[in-house]
Amino acid sequence: MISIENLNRYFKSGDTSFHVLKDINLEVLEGECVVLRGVSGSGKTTLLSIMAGLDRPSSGKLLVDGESIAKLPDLHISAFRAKKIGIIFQHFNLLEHLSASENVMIPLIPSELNMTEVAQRVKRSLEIANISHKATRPAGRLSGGEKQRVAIARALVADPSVILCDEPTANLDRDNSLKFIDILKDLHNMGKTIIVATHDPLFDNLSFASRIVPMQDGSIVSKEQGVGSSE
Amino acid sequence: MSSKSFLDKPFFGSPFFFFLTLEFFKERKKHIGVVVISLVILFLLSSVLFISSSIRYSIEQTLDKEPDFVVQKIQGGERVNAPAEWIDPLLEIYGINKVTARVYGRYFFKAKRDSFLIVGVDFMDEQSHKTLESIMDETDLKSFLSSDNMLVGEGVSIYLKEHFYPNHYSFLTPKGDFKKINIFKVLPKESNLIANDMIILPMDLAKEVLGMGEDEVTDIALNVPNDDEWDNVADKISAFYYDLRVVTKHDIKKAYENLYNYKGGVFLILFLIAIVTFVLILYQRYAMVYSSERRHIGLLRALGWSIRDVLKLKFFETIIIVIISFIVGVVLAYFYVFVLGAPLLKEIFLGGANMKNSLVLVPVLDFGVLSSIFLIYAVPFIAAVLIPVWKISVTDPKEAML
Amino acid sequence: MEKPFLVMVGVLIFMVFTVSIHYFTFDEKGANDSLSMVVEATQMAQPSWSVSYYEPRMFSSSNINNISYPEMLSTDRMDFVYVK
Repeated sequence: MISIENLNRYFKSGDTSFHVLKDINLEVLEGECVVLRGVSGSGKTTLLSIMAGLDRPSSGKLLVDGESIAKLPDLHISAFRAKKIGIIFQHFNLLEHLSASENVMIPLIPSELNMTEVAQRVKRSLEIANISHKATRPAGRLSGGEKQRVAIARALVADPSVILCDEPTANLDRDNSLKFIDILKDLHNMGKTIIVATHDPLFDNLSFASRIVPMQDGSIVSKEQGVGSSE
Repeated sequence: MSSKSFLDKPFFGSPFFFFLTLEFFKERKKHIGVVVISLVILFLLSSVLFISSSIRYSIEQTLDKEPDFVVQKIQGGERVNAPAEWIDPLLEIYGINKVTARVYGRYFFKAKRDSFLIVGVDFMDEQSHKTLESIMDETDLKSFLSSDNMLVGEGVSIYLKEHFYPNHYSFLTPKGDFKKINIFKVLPKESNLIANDMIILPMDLAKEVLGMGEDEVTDIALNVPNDDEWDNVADKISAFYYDLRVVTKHDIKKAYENLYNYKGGVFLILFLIAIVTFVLILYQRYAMVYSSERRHIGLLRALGWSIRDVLKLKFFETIIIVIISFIVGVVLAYFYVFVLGAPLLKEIFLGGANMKNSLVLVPVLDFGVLSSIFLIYAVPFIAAVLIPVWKISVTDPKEAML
Repeated sequence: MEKPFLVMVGVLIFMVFTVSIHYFTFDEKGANDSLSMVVEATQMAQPSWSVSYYEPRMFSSSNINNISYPEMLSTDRMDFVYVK
């Protein structure tokens, strides 16, 4: 599904160059749930952004479904993001002046669906994320857990095959974090490929995660650990 | 509660249109300031252009009726009364078909205060007789001439009423006598552009009030039907005497053409203010897109919107703002000028030192000017939004969202 | 949000419509005729400037291009370039 080979990412600031990702090699199979584990600054969010097509690697290969997305032109990479990737951000990134359902519909607007189809899809994803009852409430007036669920619904609405979560529980209390993990399990059962970048210990013992990939200083540090039993 | 409607009942338009209206109305606070400022500028600009084009249009319509030449007597560079005996030699010049002695002058109600324009008309002249008859709704001119009567413009009538002279006024002649003259009729309001401060008197009465001798006239007007002969005739007239000046209709026409064009002081200042304000609006818009819209655009891009989709949304959003400001600004200006009669602003054009003029402005829509205002406003405005939007869109969404 | 949008479009169309009605039904001929008659009778077409006692009521020179500042010369003058 996702194949990364010798991927590097540098950031330049003036004359100095920061080597943020160093020779990353990673293979994620379809339907897998992979946890990128590491302290902040370890490069996991950058790696996630590159997988999502939000950032571009400085060198190396990145194949999604056998297609190299590192050098795709804007129109194609946008279409790739819209169809294949669902992103759940650490800060939820909702448009506060819009309601929950209006936030959820955003990824579908450039699509060629008509309004009835859009409404149906939004309804379904709100149900999956268990937030239908707050569909009309402005995002600015939702609690942290509710915002997270709206963000999940938004990530699901285009029916993507890959869900990327960047520190999804960093702004949630324990109860809401556990609820989030439950939803993640449902998504896994639906056959979605899930990649979570986190430093939350709650993800250490996920029953449905195939493996944990530990990261440190921009590298994958040791052999990945298998967790639970996904098979 | 709008989301309820979109989930529960089908929306007729496309999702893009739905989202466009959603963003526009839910973020109206962001747009309202810029719409109001643009609207005020467009209102002022259009009002000024409406007034000037209306006045210019009315003057152009009347200019054809004006005499082709005016011959004045000059003394020390200033106009003085001309002798009536100049009329006969002028009539003898081949090509001149109508020579009229004009008698006019200002009469001051109080020294250094308000004044009327007194115009003497030869009621025995067939042409004047006919037109005056139609102005007065075919009222018998004989009764007008039977005693000392005058026709007054609307401004004069109002002014005299305010000063307790509803039916007549006693003019103080330069000899020191009082001359009581009755108000026979008020000229129609539609003629206020020319006749607001005008008092029309029979020729002799006008001369008496203005203190002119019987063989004196203010100047002499004449017509030359053949345009090609104008220069010839002007030369011939100039050769008659050393102390005369010939003013042609062309000179006056040129003066009017220049009168209300954008090079004039008031217009220049107004346009400069408008341009400076536009630049400020554009700068504000540009800065706003860079600061507050950066995250928004980054997010849309992260959620699968292409650069083209983002530009399309922002383009239509801006077009709506531009169209609303333009239509509302121009329509309000139209009502202000042509329905309300442009109070306050009109005084800039007609002056306010003497009596007030409530003239009827004929609606004139100069589509060339309107479309150039639209382009001057719309193109930089759209550019001031789309350029920063494009710059943000082409950066990586991750960077834009930071 | 389609309702407010349609209302807004409706209001704009209404405004343009009322302007058109006023514009096309205005008695332009009547207004022009009144002016023409006064000009024909008096042989004078000078606009009724509301001027102070020290300002001329009638201009016959071609150099005036601004009522609020009649002394200002027009910017399209070239007589300082070409000798008369």
